[in-house]
Amino acid sequence: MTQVTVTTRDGAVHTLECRDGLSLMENIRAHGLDELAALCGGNMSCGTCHVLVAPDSLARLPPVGVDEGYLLELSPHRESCSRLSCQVTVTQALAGLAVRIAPEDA
Amino acid sequence: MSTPVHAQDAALASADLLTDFDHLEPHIGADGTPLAYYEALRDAAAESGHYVHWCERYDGFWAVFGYEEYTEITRHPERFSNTEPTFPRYALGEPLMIAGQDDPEHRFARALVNSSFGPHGVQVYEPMLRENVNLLIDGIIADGAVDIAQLIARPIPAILTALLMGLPAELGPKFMAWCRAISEGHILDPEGSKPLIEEMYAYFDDTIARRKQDGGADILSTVINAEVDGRRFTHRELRGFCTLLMLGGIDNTKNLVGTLLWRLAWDIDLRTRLLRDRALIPRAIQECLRYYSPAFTARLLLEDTSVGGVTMKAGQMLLLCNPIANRDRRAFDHPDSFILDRPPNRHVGLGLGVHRCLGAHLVALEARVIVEELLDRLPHFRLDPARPSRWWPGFVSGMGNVPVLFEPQAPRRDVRGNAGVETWLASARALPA
Repeated sequence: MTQVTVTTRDGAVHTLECRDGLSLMENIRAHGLDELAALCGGNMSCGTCHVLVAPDSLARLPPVGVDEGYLLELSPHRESCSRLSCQVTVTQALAGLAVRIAPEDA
Repeated sequence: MSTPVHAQDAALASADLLTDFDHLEPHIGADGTPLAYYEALRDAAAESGHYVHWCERYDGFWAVFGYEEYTEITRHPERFSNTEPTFPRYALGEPLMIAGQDDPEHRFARALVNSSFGPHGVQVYEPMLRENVNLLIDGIIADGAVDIAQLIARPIPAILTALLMGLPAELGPKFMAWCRAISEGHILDPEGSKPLIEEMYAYFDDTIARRKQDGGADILSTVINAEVDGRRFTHRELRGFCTLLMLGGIDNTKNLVGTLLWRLAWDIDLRTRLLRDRALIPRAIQECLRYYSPAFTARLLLEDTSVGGVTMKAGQMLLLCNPIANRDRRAFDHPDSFILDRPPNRHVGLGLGVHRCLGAHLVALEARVIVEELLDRLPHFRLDPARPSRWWPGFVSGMGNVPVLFEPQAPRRDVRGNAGVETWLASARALPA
């Protein structure tokens, strides 16, 4: 288990005990935070699991892939710290990671 | 906002509406679509307090009408299996790869082709699509009248699917006959469909053998020659990939586009907005996927379970009603209106969860290119009052005939030399008017 902090759109901060080996998206949804839609279930097809990573944690994540970057570009809420949470696998190396669920795209 | 009014006819007030639900033969309303039927089913389900209902047709099945219930089912593939992804069952004979698989097999097969269908991967097809759409328009533009569903919405996905499979574009009309034989022909006309299905598999067998020997740069060749952890796909699995690419590439797209073009032919407000601002076209496509969702989908229940307050037994079939879940009042404001500016449009027109449509980005790309080119070249096409449009019902459904009129113009280019386009033009002209 790895501890990750997730801030939902209402500003509430949730500390999640995440299962290693699963994606951050799967962990967030498993904790009942359904506002992270993840419509395609992690197939990197929809862009609806967009999170904003605390800038000081960014370096701990693997680089953004081609399709991930393309999907993020489609979002008006993209920031330099944007990631698709289905592409982030939780490991012990991410202990203390802090993310915020991005505003929903129109 | 455009708000069509669907007249409630007496059949929709039947007390047995829910138990008699028939997705393959829906009531068609005065507007030519089954929307009033879908809305009546939605209302009857809401009134009953249950959004999952037992229906008697086709030896019985659970119909899932609610968005929330749809979401719960598709988020739990471990209980709701995809090994029966259509209902009633298609005459496949072989497992339908990806769409008809559960994890871990599903995950493995999808991973092989996922990036080819990703938002970046599909862009490579845009120039070819634009070229073919324009040539089809060149083929009909001097006529001033055309069935735009038959001559634009059907050919384009067939031509693209042939390209994805590395097959000749002129195979398109044959694809249509094979799709129909598999999906409903085997029920309506078993004797007539059998030789078509045999012909299809013989063709795929030959294709697979040749690709194993010669290779190829298309998606099908990639799959045929893929080796992961020392394992290659079996011949039956490769047949299942062929049927997946063919069915998945054609059925949904031709129905969605046929219906969208029908809507654009009479909804002047919508067309005017798209003509003024092309950036709205993707939104129109997504709202069309919600409002006129072409496909249903199905699941096989693996264990006794309860959803939406009803208890279901292992082995029973569920029909997930995309177009009805997409008009659930609990999930969508004004669900019976086509709203271009809908805020986050979380429709389930292409499914939800890990089995959401592999070709979602291709569907959107094809629809966008077709609408863009048609609005450029035939901005004022309108429904032909002498020839009614017709909804083609089925497990995947939509407007299959959309005769339109427009001002005749000179074509920009000669279509000769493009075998796929020529075949479609000849095939459509051979049909009775």
